[in-house]
This record gives sequence, C-alpha cells and structure tokens, in this order.
Amino acid sequence: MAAALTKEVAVLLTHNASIRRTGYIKFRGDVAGTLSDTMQVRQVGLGGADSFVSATEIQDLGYTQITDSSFNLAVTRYTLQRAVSDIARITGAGVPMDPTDPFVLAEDMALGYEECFNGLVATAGATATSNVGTSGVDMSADDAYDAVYTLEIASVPGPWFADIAPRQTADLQESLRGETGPAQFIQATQDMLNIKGQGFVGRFLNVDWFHDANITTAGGNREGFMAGYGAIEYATGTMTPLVGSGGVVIAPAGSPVVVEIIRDGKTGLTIPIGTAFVAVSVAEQARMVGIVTDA
Amino acid sequence: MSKDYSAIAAAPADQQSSGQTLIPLAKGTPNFHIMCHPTAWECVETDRGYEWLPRLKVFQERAGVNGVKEVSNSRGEVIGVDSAMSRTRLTDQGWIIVPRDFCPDEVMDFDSPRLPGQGYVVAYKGRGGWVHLARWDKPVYDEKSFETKTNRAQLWAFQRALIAKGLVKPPAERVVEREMRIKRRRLERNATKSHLPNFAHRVQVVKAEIEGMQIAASAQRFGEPLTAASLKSEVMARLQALEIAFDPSESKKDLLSKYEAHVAASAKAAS
Repeated sequence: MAAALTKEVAVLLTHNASIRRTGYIKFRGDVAGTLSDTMQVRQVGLGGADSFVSATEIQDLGYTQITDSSFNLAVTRYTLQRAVSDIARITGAGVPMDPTDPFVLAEDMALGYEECFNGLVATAGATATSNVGTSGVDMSADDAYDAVYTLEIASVPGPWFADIAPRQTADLQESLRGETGPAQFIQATQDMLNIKGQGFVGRFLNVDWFHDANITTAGGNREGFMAGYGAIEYATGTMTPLVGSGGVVIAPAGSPVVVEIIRDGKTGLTIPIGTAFVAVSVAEQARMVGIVTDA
Repeated sequence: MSKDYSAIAAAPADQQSSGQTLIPLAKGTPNFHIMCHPTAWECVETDRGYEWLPRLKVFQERAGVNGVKEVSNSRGEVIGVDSAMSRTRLTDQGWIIVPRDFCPDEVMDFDSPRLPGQGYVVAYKGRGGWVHLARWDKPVYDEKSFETKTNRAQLWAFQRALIAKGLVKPPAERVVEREMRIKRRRLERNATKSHLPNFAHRVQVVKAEIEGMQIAASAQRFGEPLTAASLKSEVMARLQALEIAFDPSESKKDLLSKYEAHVAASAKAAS
C-alpha cells in the first residue's frame, strides 16, 4: 500500500483575520436604495471646532467660516467563484471539512471576504500623510511611541488601533525584549482573541495591535498605520437576488456576503458564487499616522 | 490512394513551463501612482551621507478604495479603473501625484531599450494576475515564496530627481524641525536609561541621526546638489523653491552662484 488517506482534511496555513469585525473601521451605511454606487460623506467642523475670540465692545467682527470637507465611498463588487465537479462531490461527501459541502464553502467565502476587506483597509492605510519610522530600519518600540505621540499631539480621540505587517510585529516584539519601564506589552490571551478575533497581537501603550499580511509594501518598506476610530470608514451594498432567479442563496451570519449556488447539469458542475459590495476610504487623515519601517 | 503524412507541418512547442515563470502570488497587485506630500519627509543615510528625501507613498488603483471605481464597457466587461476623482481629492489635500511616465535615466534599467511612456511602474506576470512593482523593487521568487529586493541607489536617485526636476519642493523649515523634534524626543527617552548597554547603543545611533539631519539641513542637502552640469530650468526651479529672488534672464552661472551663496550662508548660520 503506497499511502493511506487520513479521514480529516487539514486546513492549510491561512491568514484568518478580520479588521472589520474589530469595530475600529466605522460603518457608514449601505448604498441600497440610493440609486448610486457612490456615497459622498459630508464632513463639517462643528462641535466646538472654532473657539470664541476676544473683541472690543464696538468691534465689527469678521465671519468665521465653518470648515467642511467630504470623501467618497465608491462601492465595488468583489466576488469569489468556485466550481465543484460531480466526481469531487461523490468522493468528498461525508469527509470532515468537506471542501465540496456548500455550507463549508459559504463559510470559506465569508472569510475570503474578510481577507479582501483587510486588503482594502491596508491599501487605504498606506496613504497616511503623517508618518513615523525610518525607511530601511526595523520597527522598534520607539516607532510605537512616536506614533502614539503623533496621535496625542493631534488630539485624536480613542480608542486607537494599529494595523501592521507581521514582519513589523516581529520587529516590534524583538525591540520590546530590551525595553524597561512601566509600559508593558500585553499579549493576546484566549479571551481577547475570542472578542477581537484572529490577527489581534496584543495591547501596548493602550493601543490594540493587529497584524495583517496585506499591508502594502513599497520601496522596501511596510506601510502599516495607527489610527483612531473614524479614520477609515466603509460602506456596503446588500445584494438580494431577484425573486424567481432560482438556485440556492445562503447569507452567512454576520457577513455582507451573499452566496448563491447554481447547478450546471450540462458540465456536471455545482457553482457557488460569493458576492459582496464594499468600499473603504480614509475619512480623515488627521486621525491616522503611517508606520513606515523596513520590510 | 495513400495519405501524404509529410504535409503535416511541425509547430514549435512551448519551450517554457509558464507555471514556473510566474510570480507565485494568489492575487495580483493593482497599478499605482507614487505620491509625495509636502509635510512627509525623512532624513535617510544614503551613499552621500545624510540626505533629506521626500517620503514616497503609494496610491494603489484598487476599485472600492478611496473612491476608485471600476469602469466597464457597454457589454459590462471591466476594462479598468477610474481614479481621476480620487486623485483630484488627494491633490486637494496637498498630495503631489507623480506622473507615471516620470522616470529619470539613472532609475531606468538599460537591459532593454526605453519605450515611449515607460515610467516607474513595472508589471510582472503572476499566477493571480499582474503584479505591479516600482522599478527599484525587483521581484525575488521561487516556486513558493515571493519577496522584493529594493535597489536603494535607484530609489534615492528617483527621490533626488523629484526635487531636481521641480516636482517636489524642498521641505519647509517647520517640517524639518518637526522630524528633528521626534528624534530629539527619542534621544531624551533613551538617554535616561543609557547606563544599560542596549540603550547606550540606541542613544549613540539617534545622536548620529540628529547630527546627520542637522548637517543635511544646513547644507541644503535636499536631493541632487546643483552643479555646473545642471540645467538652467533646474537651477531656476530650486531657487524658486528656496524662495530666492532671481531674474530669469540671468545667466545660468549667475543663478548657480546665487544658489551656492545661499547654501554657504545656511551652513554658516547653522554652525
């Protein structure tokens, strides 16, 4: 006997994290029923943005204009399609983690969407105007402090989070080995992971640190970032297939993904298609700082 | 009648196994623009000592991010992305989007002839689609792993050229001062523990960096230094950036001496 197959199908190493589910990325809304795929978000400097100024008793005052801005969330279709052949279905049925099981595939698609979302956030985060870190130099605890100071100086309200590349996490942890003083890196415990999910590394300087393999690399550097809530926002579009379109529709819980399963008897294929409509944008540059260090 | 088998022409077989020559990434990376912001500078130790160079940021044309949209034809097929509105918004925020065809000769590779419009983005075929990289980031990969190796000399040449060609103005004094303040704070933080060997080493490194930053700032070492070989337009662009008054009708030699006098005065003031 050349080989014996195990009953279990093991899952390959996968970056299984979701920055969306952490709650740090602000959900702006759904474009459903708006007649546009683009949501223009209007921003205004109210709530005490302009303070009173002193004036003499009969002084004619100049007007203080209200600061305004806007940004766009252009919802785009992201999909993943697979094809399950009949022979795969016959031979794969009943195996734990059956890769031909529609519910296993639907769950996989929901996670695939999260991975896509992580990439969108990482791409948006790479456009930070303020940056700390030095090109070609490994990330250190000093860079973490500099990032925190930058947000503090800009009076960015918390909670803060950092989204960095795994290489940056490793370099930060290496640097922390030599640190002394009261600031402690709190490693992610099982309870923390249960709440914040995979990808959460721990807390340091009152910041939640996540790592993400999608972080942009440019010029030999990793373009991670630290931000406050509201720095990056996202919008979705909820897809509902037309009544009578046939097929099976599965909507994985807690995910904006819709999985349709259609059958093509001609080719002997069962085709699950996952679809999601999503947009991610930097809402306010002042609320974030880039952490640019060696790749 | 027998068949004439000699009539079947031989066709050359594909000599390459395409699977082995593609970058092993499950998904491609989108095309991008390089952009700089007037407030984003860093002092880097290059082959010429410390130099102030603009930070290069990447604006990836990824549909769904920062307002980038997909564009389809009348049959609904995706034919590309539209980033015009996003780039306009970024420009409004002060970003300088470097045109894709901008690429000085020293950044180009001369393995192949330069084609019209060839710029700083290079596309490589990958298993999951095109992988777009900057010209100075060379793909290093085998069957399973992929990484990029950065040619720093090319990268620095590109950054210097941005200033030399007038696309990016030298940093404002407050920007230089802010970067130095960050380093000084780092020095102070580490100096309190300099009795420990690793902190003592860090203090030395940061001290050297601050000194390098000061020297580079005082010597106006922002990108390529101007020489007699520089074009008159480059000299004029630099004088304009440094807010030095000049008459465009002046000779290049006179303009150059104005620049040199400014550099010497700055160095003296700093010392």
